[in-house]
Amino acid sequence: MTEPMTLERLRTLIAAYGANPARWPLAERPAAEALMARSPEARAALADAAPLDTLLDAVPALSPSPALRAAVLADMPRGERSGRIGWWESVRVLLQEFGSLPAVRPLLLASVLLGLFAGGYLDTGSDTDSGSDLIQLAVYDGSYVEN
Amino acid sequence: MADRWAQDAETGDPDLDLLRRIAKGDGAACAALVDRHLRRITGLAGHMLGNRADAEDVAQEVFLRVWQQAPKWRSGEAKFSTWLHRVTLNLCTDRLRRRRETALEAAGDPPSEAPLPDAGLQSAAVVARVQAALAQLPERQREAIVLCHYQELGNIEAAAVLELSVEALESLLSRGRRKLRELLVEELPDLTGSIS
Repeated sequence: MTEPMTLERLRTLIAAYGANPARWPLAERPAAEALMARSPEARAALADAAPLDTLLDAVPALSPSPALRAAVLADMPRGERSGRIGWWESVRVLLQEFGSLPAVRPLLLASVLLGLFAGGYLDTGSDTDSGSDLIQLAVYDGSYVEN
Repeated sequence: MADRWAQDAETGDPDLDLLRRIAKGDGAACAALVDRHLRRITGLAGHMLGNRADAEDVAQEVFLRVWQQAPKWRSGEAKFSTWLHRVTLNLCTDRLRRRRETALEAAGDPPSEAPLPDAGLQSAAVVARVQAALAQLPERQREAIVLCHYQELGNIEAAAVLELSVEALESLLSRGRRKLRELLVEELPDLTGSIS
C-alpha cells in the first residue's frame, strides 16, 4: 500500500511536472491521484497549472524531413559486404523518401526493376551484386535533388 | 511515452542489439536505429533551437557521432537513449553559444526565433510567443522542461541526461515553469483562449 501524499508534495509535483498526471513520477502517481480525488485544494492547484501546460502543448515537435533521413543514412558506416543495406530495405527507403510523388513512382519502380534485371542477367565481368549496388547508388546519390 | 521495444536481457537497453549489429557493419540495423530515434532527436533539437535548419543540422551531427560510437559502445555504462539525448543537448548548447556570440558581434541584432513551420496558421502566433518565452529561459531550465514535457522522459532518465539528482531536476523544472508563467502571465488567458 502506498503512503498517503501530502498537499505540499503534490504542489511540488505540479510545480515541477505540470498538470498532466502522465508526467508525474510513476511511483508517486497513485498517491497523488488519490489525494486529487479527496482534496479540493489539490484540484485547485491542478487547475491553476493547467493553462501553462496547454500553452506548452501548442508548440509542435518538428518532424524530420525525408531529406534529413536520407542524409543521415548516407553518413552511415560502410561495412563489409555482409553489412550492406539489403535490396528490399533500399527499395523501401526509396519508396518512402520519393514514392509519394505521383510522377516519380512509376519511374522509380522501372529503375529498380531495370537495376535488378541488369544485376541478375547481364554479365558485367564483376563480382559485385549489381542490383543491390545500383539501388544503393540511387538511394545515396548525393547529387539527387528533390523537386 | 513508454518504450515498447524488446529490451536487452542483461542491461534493459532496447538498443543494444542494434548497436552490436551496427558495429559489425549491418546497414539494415543502421536504418532501424535511425527510424527508432530520428524523430525524437529532431524534435528535441527543434524545441531547443526553435528552427528547422539548425535542428536538422544537429540531428545529422548526432547520428554521425552514433556511427562513430557504435563500435566502441559498452553496455552497462548508460542507456543508449540517455547518451543520445545528452549528445543532442550538448550540440544544441554549442549552437546556442555560437548564436549568442554572433548576436553580440552583430551589435544587438537578436537571433531569429521564427515559429516552427509545422505549426498551423491559427496558432502560429501562440507558438511564436511560447517559443520566445522558452528561448528566454536559462539553458538548464529549458533543457529540463524540454526533456520532461516534450520528450516525456521519466524523471530518473531526465536527471541522468542532465547528470543531476532527481531533486535538482525538480528544482530546475519548478524554476523554469515559474519563469515561463512570469513571461506569459499577461498573455495566458488570451493565449489559452485562442488555442482551445
